[in-house]
Amino acid sequence: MTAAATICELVDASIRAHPDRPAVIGPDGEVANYAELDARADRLAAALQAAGVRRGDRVGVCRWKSIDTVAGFLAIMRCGAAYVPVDPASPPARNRTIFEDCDVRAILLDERTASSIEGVPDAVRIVGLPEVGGGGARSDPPDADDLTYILYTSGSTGRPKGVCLEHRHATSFVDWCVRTFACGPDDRASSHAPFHFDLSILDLWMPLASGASVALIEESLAKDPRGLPAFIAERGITIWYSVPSILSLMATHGRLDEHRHDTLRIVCFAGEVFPLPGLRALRAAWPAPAFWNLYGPTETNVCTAFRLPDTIGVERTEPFPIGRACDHCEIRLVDDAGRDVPPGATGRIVCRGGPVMRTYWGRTPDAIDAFVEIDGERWYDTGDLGATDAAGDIVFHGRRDRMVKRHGYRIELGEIQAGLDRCDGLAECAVWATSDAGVTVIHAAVVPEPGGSLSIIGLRGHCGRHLPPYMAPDRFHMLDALPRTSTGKIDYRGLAERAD
Amino acid sequence: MTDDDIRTAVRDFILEDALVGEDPANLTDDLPLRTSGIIDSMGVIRLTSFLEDRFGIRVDAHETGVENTDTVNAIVAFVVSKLG
Repeated sequence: MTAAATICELVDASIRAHPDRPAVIGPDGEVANYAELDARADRLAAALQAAGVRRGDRVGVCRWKSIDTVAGFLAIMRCGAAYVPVDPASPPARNRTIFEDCDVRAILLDERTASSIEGVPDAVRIVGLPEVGGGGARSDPPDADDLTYILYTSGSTGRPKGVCLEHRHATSFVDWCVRTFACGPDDRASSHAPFHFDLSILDLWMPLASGASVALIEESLAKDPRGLPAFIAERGITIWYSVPSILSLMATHGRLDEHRHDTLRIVCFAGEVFPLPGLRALRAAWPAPAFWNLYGPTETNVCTAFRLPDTIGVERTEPFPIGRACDHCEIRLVDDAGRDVPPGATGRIVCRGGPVMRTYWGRTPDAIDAFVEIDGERWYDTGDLGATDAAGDIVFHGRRDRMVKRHGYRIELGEIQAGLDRCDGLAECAVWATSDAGVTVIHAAVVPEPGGSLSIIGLRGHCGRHLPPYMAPDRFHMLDALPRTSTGKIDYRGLAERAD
Repeated sequence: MTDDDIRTAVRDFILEDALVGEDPANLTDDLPLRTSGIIDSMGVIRLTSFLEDRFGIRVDAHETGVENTDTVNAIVAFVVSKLG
């Protein structure tokens, strides 16, 4: 891979070098080679230009996984615009909020999502793949300073916030991936994460930047630990990347011994701590591939990496480190005053360099608390804590705030609370999280209005309509009143004890 | 084992796993469980493991869809067909 300024330049180089090689394998097994991907992207780019999309615009994408969805991302980038993917399974109102927030010029939809986005002002809806068109769509291509994508993450006040990444950030990360995992034309990567999740950046653009292919995993299969092992074998996956939770489930429920996975050479995971029992079981089932623990918030994508040993001894009781800074960024562990903490001491994990976002959409960098100045330079404070171990690798020590991770998704408990607060018949509620053998469990204590008819079943239905599926609480606790501390604050410790 | 035994076991599992604190009377046999979000994707995996362990059946990947798991009635019918 040569140095390129933008993600679309990287993909264009693969198109020129390998027009006949497979590029994207759809969930149903349909194969699009690089020439076909190019042609579809051109048709969509022509439709976007006809819709008025210009360099610097944003284009929403509310589509399920398909070859045309990938072609759509490429088309948006070729127009010099940023793609804004949302979860088609999320409540339409949440997706509409996102599209309105970043003022999308157009929205790409598919046949299944065409009816779900309504009331977005000044946005042209493009459903499916235009029958004809193409050519002449690269009159004003992006450069390194243009936005590649905006990914919306959970916000503490209940409003999602848009992480803005430029092509310089994305290519810096993709270049690191290609070099580190030696991705080449014979590789076939999996696309397990949904496209609104930052793991998808590696899944899509690492293989497509290196002439390899990417096999898309349909959303319901992605949650099925019994179906995925057959998929990995049938598609001949060589590089797997996902959150640990599905790998853990595959190890315990996937009947891995019934399948041959000898094409697998790299297994990456990120997004949450991989509890040791599941990791040990997976290592035993898959002894050959290299296992990598990757770390980084959406704002930086991956910024540290750790390659696991080939065997996991029974004496090990602690999770593995998140490793050291990737060579496209810098990491420091600092105290509250911005001074480096000594080896072994816990500090804030801060990052600067190649992959760190420009800003959140609609905010100036100066207004973002997570950007801190240390020694005259701007660093991104991840909100995570860590310490170096004896070998010099960073060990993750949890969060400083009320954000939790579940199935790799970062969740602000305040966003769940804001969603629950809108439920009819609810007087007040409190949301907190516990850990059960390393797995996050989200609790909600709910107090019904006097004379109301609040039920657990009703609350679950409300969550289905107002929260993304991964934010729904695992446990509801119906109380007459929330416990309070002497200062009148909600007594979360008392709640947690009551829930045990 | 009668159908009622299966029904009781399935209902107890759902009340314990997904509806802690709910009035059991509200869990009707035709209440949508999957499509309403009461049982999510992780809940299906737990339900499947429970059915396998409790009834000694093998559940394959293609059998865990909504058609077999959306209601107590559907789950009971599925288990009965497996045992038959």
